[in-house]
Amino acid sequence: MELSELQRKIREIRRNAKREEKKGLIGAWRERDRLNGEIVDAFVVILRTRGCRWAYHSGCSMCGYFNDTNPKMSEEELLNQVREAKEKYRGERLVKIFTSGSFLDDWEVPPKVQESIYEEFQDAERLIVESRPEYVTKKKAEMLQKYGNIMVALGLESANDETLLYRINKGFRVEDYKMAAELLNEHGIKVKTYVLLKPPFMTERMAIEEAISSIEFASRYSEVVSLNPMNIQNYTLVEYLWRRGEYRAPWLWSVVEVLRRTHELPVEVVSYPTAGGTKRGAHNCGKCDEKVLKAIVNFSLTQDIKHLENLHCPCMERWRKIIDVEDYLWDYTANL
Amino acid sequence: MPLKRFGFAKATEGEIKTPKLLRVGKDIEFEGDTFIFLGKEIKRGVVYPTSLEQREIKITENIYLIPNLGDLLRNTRELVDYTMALRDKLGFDKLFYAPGIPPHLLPVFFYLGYDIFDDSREKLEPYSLIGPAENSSISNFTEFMLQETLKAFNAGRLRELVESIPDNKAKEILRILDLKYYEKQELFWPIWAPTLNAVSHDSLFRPDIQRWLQRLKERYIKPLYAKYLLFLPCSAKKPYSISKSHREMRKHIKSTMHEVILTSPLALVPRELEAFYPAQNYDIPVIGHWYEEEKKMIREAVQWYLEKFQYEGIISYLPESMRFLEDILRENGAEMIWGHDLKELERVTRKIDYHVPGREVLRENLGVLAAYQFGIDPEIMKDTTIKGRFPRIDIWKGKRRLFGYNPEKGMLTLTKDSAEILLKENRYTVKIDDFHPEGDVFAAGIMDASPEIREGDEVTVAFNQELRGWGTARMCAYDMLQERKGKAVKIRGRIKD
Repeated sequence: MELSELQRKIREIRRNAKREEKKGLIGAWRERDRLNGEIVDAFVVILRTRGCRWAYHSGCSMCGYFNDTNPKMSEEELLNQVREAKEKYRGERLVKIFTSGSFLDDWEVPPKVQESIYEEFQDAERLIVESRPEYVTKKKAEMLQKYGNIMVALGLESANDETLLYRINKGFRVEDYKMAAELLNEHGIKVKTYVLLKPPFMTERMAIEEAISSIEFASRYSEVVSLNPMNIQNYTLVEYLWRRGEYRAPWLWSVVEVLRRTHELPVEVVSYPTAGGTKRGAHNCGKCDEKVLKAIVNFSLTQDIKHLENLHCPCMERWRKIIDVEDYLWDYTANL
Repeated sequence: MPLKRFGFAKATEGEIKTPKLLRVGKDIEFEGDTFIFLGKEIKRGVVYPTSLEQREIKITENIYLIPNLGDLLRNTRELVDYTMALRDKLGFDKLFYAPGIPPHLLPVFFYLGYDIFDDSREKLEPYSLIGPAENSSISNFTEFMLQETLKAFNAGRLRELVESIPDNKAKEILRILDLKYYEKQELFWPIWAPTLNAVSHDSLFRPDIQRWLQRLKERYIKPLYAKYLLFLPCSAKKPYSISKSHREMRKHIKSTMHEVILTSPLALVPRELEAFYPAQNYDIPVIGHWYEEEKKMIREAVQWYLEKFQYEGIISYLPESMRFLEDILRENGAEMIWGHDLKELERVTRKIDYHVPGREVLRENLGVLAAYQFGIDPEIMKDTTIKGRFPRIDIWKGKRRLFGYNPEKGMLTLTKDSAEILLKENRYTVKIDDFHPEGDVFAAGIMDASPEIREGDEVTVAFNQELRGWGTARMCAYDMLQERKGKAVKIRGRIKD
């Protein structure tokens, strides 16, 4: 299949989405996270922006964040959201600002809004913002460097160009990520990297192997690597496949496997599976999900591998067979 | 290269021998993203599921891997249509590898035209004849299924095995093939096989049964002596005339009647064709009950027959269970005898008092056979002499032998003279390059072949309009034109240089 055809399909599915002209923050909450070897409270904010610029072209096969964005979002309204966020802030040491796109994209988040965030949260020990690599310019790096507390999170997803191109439609290549990460590193800005577990059109085993090699690759440029198991979001190509039984979100056992096989890397590898334990997120048989999910989160917070040892459930045998056999089936419908 | 076919199923030899079972870890293996198929490395790349794209993966010039079969199995119509379209695109001699199919469906996938299989599915979960099971009674169930399939295929009974798979998906595939792809299947169905067991209602729609009905309509011409028609029931023993019941009836038939046997699943078998496949070869479970499908088929055939052919008198001698024909017989003014009443049969036939000498009846019957077998004018038997005692006979015209007769197959065999006639009629003719066949004719030397030729047919071999030989087709017309290797005609007679 041609890339243009894949993109056409992604757009076609997306057209069914009903985007409302909502205002105000998409969300703001507190959660536990890890900072400099400690477990701390983190303040999380999701700004409602016009959304990811790439999503206006076609977008990634798994990303449904555009559902909550507002194409008519103004600078003034965004500044209101910053104020709203600040009001809710209780001085947490770690602050994470998400946008359903790229915080560093001036078209999506006007420079004035970017700066006001930096100003408002300059007392936090760490402020994390997210961006696609193309918006990480030398000018931006110099600007971020001034504040000293900013970490940039980059969604690499996979260190395999074939996956970026034909499975995710990521719109950039591994080399683009590398250049952005190196630029940030050169300016002393810390990098966090997201790696996607189980893009579509892959077997469970391939997904595990690729996540591991992607984490190894990302660890050269990052302080933290976050392993994000696929979760099925509305009006995405992945949801379309999932409804047809042609895609299954990864097993929690696969998450455990990747974490166990990467924990000796000199970076923190963490995972907080979104929608974990449900059909739309990483899940096992239903009986052990809660237990395994808890172990994954505990490992992520403590980085203590003992949480991932001695996990057992009869469904593990089924998972192991899928790892061993699924490749030979040349079919995605058997892994359910 | 195909060695033997039954419809889309084929046994081949060449690069590899098929049908073949590949063993995970031995014959096939994954190393990262690389698939190793019998030592050959293939990069897996991005494989999309069917709702986005269905694309075959070329392994060698001859072998194609067909992905997403589990996905396609959820919609069997799509699976069959896709497979047929792919055959049209790539040819019916290419080898299709069906990875990961449920092993209890192996016979039907083989029947659908897949050649290479593996045991991967069984490694995911145990299987039995009825599908996934708690545990398997044998360790290599897929291998067992392949061996059973091959055994059935070699015995000419693959169809029976496929009809008997207790799985709705298997039935769907079979029925779609029967209803939608009869013409294509029939191209590859041999003209003769040792047995035909009508083991299920699906047998009514077998390509060889459908071909029988179709050819009756297209080629059958009743003999000239046939003025009085007698409908008779079938017998378990074949050909009917050697059965005890038919021998007994014969003693009580006191005029020259044109005997037509009514039966399932062939519907209608004129006595002249009772040895032609599958009339001589079929068997069916007999319980003395007719199912609606069978009744419908026989009624339609009788109605068609009586509309097409006129008689001076019609008699039926049928069991009570066949009263479902009563209205049609009455409308056509038949004198009906229901049940086993030989005296009545004798009385009614004696009354007709119409007698044609046995030799003439036999000669005309052979003319009808010639028409049915070759699609030519039954007049070909005019002025012939039949030598020998039926069924070991030869047909002579003047001082030259015109046909032989093969009682096992119920078919006429060609001689130089009849081969010349077929050549002139341009039927059952294989055109070869300008050479004189020494032994058999191979596909490589074939320039053209009449489209009606099936494996097992008697054929003429010629260079342009010049007869070069005659014999038995070892492959169908499609293969004669497509194949570059293999024995195409087993030559029995030839013109020497």
